[in-house]
Amino acid sequence: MIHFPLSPSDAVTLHAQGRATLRAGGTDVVDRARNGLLVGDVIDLRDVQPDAMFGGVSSTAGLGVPPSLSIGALTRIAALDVPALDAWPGLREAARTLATPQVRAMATVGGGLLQANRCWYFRHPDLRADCHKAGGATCAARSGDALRHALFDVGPCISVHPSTLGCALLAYDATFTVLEAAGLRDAGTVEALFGSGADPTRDNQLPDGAVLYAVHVDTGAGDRSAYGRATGRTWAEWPLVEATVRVGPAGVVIAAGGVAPVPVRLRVAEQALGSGASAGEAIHRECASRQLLAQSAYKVDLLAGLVQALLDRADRRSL
Amino acid sequence: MPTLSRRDLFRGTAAVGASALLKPGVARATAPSAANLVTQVNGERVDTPIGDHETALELVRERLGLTGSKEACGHGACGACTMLVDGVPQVSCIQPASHLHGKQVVTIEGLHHATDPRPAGGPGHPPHGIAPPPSPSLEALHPLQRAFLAEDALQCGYCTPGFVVEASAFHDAWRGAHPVGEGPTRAEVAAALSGHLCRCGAYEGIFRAVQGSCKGDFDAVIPGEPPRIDGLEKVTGHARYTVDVSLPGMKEAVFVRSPCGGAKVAQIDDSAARKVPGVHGILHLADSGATLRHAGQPIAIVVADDRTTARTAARLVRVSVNRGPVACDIASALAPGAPLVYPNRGKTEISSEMTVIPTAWNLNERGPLRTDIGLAPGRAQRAVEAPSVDGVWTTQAQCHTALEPHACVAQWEGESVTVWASTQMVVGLAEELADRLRLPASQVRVLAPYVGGAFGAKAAWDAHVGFVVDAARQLDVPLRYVPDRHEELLLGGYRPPQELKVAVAVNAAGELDGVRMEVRGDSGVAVGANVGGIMRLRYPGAPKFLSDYDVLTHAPAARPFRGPGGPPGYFALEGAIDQIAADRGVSPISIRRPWDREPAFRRLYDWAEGLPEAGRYAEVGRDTGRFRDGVGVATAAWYHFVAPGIEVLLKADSSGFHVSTASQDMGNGTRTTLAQAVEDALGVPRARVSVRVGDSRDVPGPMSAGSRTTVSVRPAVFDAARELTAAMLDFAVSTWGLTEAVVAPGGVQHATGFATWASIVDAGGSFSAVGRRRVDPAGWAIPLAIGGSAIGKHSSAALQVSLVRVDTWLGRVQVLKVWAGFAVGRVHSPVIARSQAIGGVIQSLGYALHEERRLDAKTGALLTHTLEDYHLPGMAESPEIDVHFDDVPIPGVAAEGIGLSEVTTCGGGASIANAIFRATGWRPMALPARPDRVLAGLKTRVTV
Ligand SMILES: Cc1cc2nc3c(=O)[nH]c(=O)nc-3n(C[C@H](O)[C@H](O)[C@H](O)COP(=O)(O)OP(=O)(O)OC[C@H]3O[C@@H](n4cnc5c(N)ncnc54)[C@H](O)[C@@H]3O)c2cc1C
Ligand code: FES
Ligand code: FES
Repeated sequence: MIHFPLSPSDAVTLHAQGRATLRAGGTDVVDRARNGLLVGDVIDLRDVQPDAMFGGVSSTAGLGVPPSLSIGALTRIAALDVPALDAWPGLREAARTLATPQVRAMATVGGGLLQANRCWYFRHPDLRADCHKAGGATCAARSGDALRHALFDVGPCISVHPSTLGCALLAYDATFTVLEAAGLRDAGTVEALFGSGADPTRDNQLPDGAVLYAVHVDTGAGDRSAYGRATGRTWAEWPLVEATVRVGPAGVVIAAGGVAPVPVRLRVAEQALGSGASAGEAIHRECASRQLLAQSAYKVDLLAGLVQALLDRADRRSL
Repeated sequence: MPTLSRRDLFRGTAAVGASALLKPGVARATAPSAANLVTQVNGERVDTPIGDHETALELVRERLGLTGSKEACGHGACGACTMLVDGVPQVSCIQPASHLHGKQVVTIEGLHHATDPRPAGGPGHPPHGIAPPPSPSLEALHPLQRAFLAEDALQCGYCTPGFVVEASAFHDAWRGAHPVGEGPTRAEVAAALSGHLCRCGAYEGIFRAVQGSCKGDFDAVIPGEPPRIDGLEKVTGHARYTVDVSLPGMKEAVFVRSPCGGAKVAQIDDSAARKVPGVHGILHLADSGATLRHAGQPIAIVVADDRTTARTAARLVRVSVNRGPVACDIASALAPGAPLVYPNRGKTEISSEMTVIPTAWNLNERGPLRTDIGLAPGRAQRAVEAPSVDGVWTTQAQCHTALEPHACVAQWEGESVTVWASTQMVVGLAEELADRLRLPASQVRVLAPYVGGAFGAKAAWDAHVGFVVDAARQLDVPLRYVPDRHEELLLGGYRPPQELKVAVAVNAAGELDGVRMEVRGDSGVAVGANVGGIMRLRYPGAPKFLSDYDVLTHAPAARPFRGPGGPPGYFALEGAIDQIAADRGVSPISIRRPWDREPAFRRLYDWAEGLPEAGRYAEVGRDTGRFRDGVGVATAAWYHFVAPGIEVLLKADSSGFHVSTASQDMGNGTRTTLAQAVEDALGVPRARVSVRVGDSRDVPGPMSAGSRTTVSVRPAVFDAARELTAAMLDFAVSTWGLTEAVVAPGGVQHATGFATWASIVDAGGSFSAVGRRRVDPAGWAIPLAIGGSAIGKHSSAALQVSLVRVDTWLGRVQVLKVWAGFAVGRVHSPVIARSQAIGGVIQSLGYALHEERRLDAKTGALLTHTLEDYHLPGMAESPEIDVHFDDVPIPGVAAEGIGLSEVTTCGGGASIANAIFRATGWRPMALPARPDRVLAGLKTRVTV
């Protein structure tokens, strides 16, 4: 059955009651339902009258205060490709690169962050029986075909996190707000929203029963930044690796996707770059500090090439 | 600086935060299930209940009968289902129907709605029946639709509605912001249409159509006929494919399939599934103990009121299987102790369109099959003892994955059955069905109205058609089965992976002393992956040792894929030759010239040497730095296949000229070819000719495979025309008492004037004649036709030059430009031929760089089960492609030309692989040249 709450609080009340699935743009929910991955009721956010925080983009750039940005979870991803985001070019670029124009027109920021992974075992009706993320206790990819899977071995599941926006927001030290039965609260960093990737049972650590309300970017406005991905084709392909780099007064920040079950900050590489290492060296140092998975070892070079390319692009970017 | 918190700044938030809105409480105002949807579709109000996960696509197709929007991938990757929602293009297959509430929806059927007085096929149109609503006039079309027609931006037309809807919105936005005459760049168009895929590879035409219409070139109707006679139906969404057939009382079938290969059925429990409301019946197709060689084998068929119900019930059918080990690739099937795919031998499936010759069978290996009779194999063997080059090339499985799946609909009436099927052989399918059902041919009718791509995958018997026909009879319902993309990618056919051991010897004088190819092909549970039979053709006169083995694996059966054997064979052979040329520092053209005596190849070489990049053919590794360019050359040859004896019926009466044959049009342009042939044979304008294909009851026409449709039907039309015009002449003479009357183009020339064919039929004459494809004047190369196919003398020739750019940091290869030359004799419909050639080039590009089926090695289940995982080339992958037809008539061949489809896809992969080598000094030995392989390969080179 479908519920159509009219307000965020109705939605959270319903959500806190049980096992119904929130449906925002529905682009992932519909697919998983057809695939047999989701059963039960739907809480469709269609009729929710969002306030400015839940349903829009607000930027203080140009208002004479340290520019910051708030993006409501119900905001369509296409709505991020606007001049208001020009102070955060890596984020805007991520938003106009991911998926396809038609998907971006429907998908929401909340759904983009909280979508389920695309592992070809997890999404396969006959292969996921024992999958951690489908309630099982193994990872079929680990002993199977993991060509496009994680590079960093951080937990039992080696899927890669699908969220491009997650990768971009990580590079800006973004935080998020949730609405729970008890009300609105600031819930910490987007990095914490995803966690370390050690928990194989879920794609994110959003508290149970919570509705993601908004994400906030308080830093990095005006920093040089760039988002990019490595793919076989030009558009509309899930990245082998993706990254957002940001070069600010405090140094370089790198967030990467396609390498772990969650988007990750590459802090070792960031430090290495800070002390003058080349992108290639920095990425190799990062990788040396981590446990790597053999099948996707090629991603080390890919990541090095990508980060170098993004640093070059960010460098050339005039503000 | 004022201290403002974020909350203060985002006005409203704090206030709302404190308001009752955010106070938890009892949920109010939530509409419970059986949600009702009120929306406007193509300007008409729709008010309907919807299901929980019902999609917008299901709503328009199933509830409203608007079948123009297509489902191809079903998960947002291909764009075939694109509709405008409040003016914004959105994919409808992953759009909840509920989200259309209160919106203005425009589907392909509504694009021209505003201006055309004729019905648009709005929601009032009854979903049942197959008669399409009338197509709008050219004037009423959106300019973008006119552009698609004029530029022939389509082939099978299955992706077209999605492209047209999206591109029309892009066009409108562009026109609003730019003056007339200013068009978008290719890159802008590619980005805007990045959510669309076209398996036929119509991208070049799409670029031209979008760019041209944005400049305003198609604001008015272009005088003259659009090149493709069924284009109008396709750009308006009126073309009805098998998936669109909807009959009163029709039920939907979904299969329960084996989860793995190498297993046996233990138990099937369908008790839970039977209880699902809306389930009409469940038939078991495998008994306990049945062997499941590959994943996806049918176990049961679930018949229900709609697909969602059938799918839900199918998921509840519990099948327990006893699993055994599987071998899913060549190496594991040949490893010692590998599980046997056919432990008791027996009959295998066949993946070839040619007859499979019996040969030795050892464990999982069947062969060798030698195809070098008369080619001096012994000399070749001796020559390659000192090879100039020697290596192992490997290729992947390339799925046909036509955007229309292998759908079928069965309807029984008493002891007669009508089957709609997405097939490239209405006649063959009808015969096969009659045979299996033990019915006289007159009681089986197969219809293939429009076919959304095939590429060879729809030219063989499909077990599921038999099951659907059976189930329809047993349950006494009309029944439709539409495979989903997972089934299509798994079972719909693929080009077999190959392992090609190739040695080539070229002597000091530059003569080709010997070619040795030992090839292993993996057609899964089938046999027939033959490369040597094609390689025979190339470099005639050179000694060749050609030996093929089939390796049986626990994978579904391969199917012949456009140019079967050609792309892998030429990838290896032309790669080896390119390497020799490079090693010797000679141009890849000059090394080949002495080996080809046929004038067609010589002319192609001359053409290639005049191309802009000709100066770079001999270069290797010129560029340094991140991006490196290279130019690759490869050639190919293909057979001249004909379907001898096929017939065409030509009629003329006061209603016009009618041509029909039991063939089909999968985007290859059969309809246009027939109309063009009538125009050329009779001298009547194409617009006066009506064409019917896709009905097995018509006179027997060719199967559309093996590049034989055009070369078979065109001469048959001319044959019929001779008889028809003779009869019309007689009629005219006797009716009007003409003297000195003779047949002339367009009518009858007589003593006192000229009587057009139109005037003769208007005078009440009614004529008909059946024409046949007769033997070529030069005869056949082999005196008998095998499997309905004769091999004519001469072969086609191709030469492709590709300019690529390799990104050495990200391992990505982009093809920047292709020049593709084809010598196929006379080209009678150049626009259609060009579209088909470009499609072949794009499919070979996908083969070289992107497409790859992957199976789980433990179970044989398909990993690349979506179009997100299986990578088809998109708009941005499509390079600029210059097609050159060496339009020189071939003597001794009817219609002076030979087939085109297959040769266009044969040399492209080799050409691109050679270009990668030329760019980087690293030669790809395995396809596709994925980023990881490129990066690894570059490491084997000393990079600068
Ligand atoms: C062809 C294709 C390519 C794609 N490529 C990319 C890509 O490159 N990068 C990328 O990032 N994505 C990609 N995607 C995925 C796409 O971005 C997601 O499907 C989309 O962002 C999901 O958003 P939605 O609003 O439709 O989410 P829904 O389907 O509505 O929801 C997704 C999940 O989020 C939960 N959810 C949604 N909103 C909230 C909320 N406010 N609070 C709590 N839970 C919530 C839902 O319960 C559900 O579990 C691609 C998709 C397709 C089809
Ligand atoms: S069918 Fe909807 S995008 Fe492919
Ligand atoms: S015309 Fe595009 S898929 Fe056939």
